[in-house]
Amino acid sequence: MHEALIPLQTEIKTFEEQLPTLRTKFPIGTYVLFMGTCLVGGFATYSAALEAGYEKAGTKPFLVKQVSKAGEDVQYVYGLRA
Amino acid sequence: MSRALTFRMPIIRVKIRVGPVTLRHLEKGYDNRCEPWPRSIPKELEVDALIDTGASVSIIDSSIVEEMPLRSYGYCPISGFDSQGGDEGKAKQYPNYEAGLVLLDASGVAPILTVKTGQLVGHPVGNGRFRAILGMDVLKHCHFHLDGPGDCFEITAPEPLVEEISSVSVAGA
Repeated sequence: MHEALIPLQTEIKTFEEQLPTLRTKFPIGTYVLFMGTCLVGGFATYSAALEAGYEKAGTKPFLVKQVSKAGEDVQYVYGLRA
Repeated sequence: MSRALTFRMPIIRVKIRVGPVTLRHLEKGYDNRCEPWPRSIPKELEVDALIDTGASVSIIDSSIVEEMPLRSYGYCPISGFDSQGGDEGKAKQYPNYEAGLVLLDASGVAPILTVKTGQLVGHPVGNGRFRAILGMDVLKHCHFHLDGPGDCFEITAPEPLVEEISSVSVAGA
């Protein structure tokens, strides 16, 4: 795991486990906010989700992730290698 | 206005900005401590960026993340770069950061498109010619015309300001 994501590993694991359910609960494109294993809520914009994250978590880790369509979980970037 | 290709690539000048929510909270932190914003920490950087229609998301070089006070609030699973090869093409998770973008015109002065908030992936671009990649999340808001025989390209934006760019396909967004 990338070192920048280590503080978010609980939130990432929880999001990935809950993604199929989140797709039924929220419209595609909704930004969901997780703190630890807790789903704080869904937001229409990235900014609103970040603001809520700061309000609830302050400087502690929180995850904001957009709910995608099934099959659109992965992005593609060609021609680069680390 | 058309621009010349650089080393046969469409490269443009862009400004990368600390995202507005991150910036507001960082500034508030300095204000609360009665400290000025440190001169050594830029709120904005100007870099060259490759226009890449083969990228579904936009990337900024890791060095930009290190120079600016960006914080990761999320991740993006990506297939196609260092996940190629020994890992059977399995997607890997990369951090993304709240950052704004300003695409500049051919003179490198006037903005053609301002994105107030984007979710940009941080990754070593590892190329001396550009430090960012503009993927389809940004290009969705542009008209891009490549004139290969003429060694030039043109990029314009029908709307000069976009509040947010989305990393997933959403009808109407």
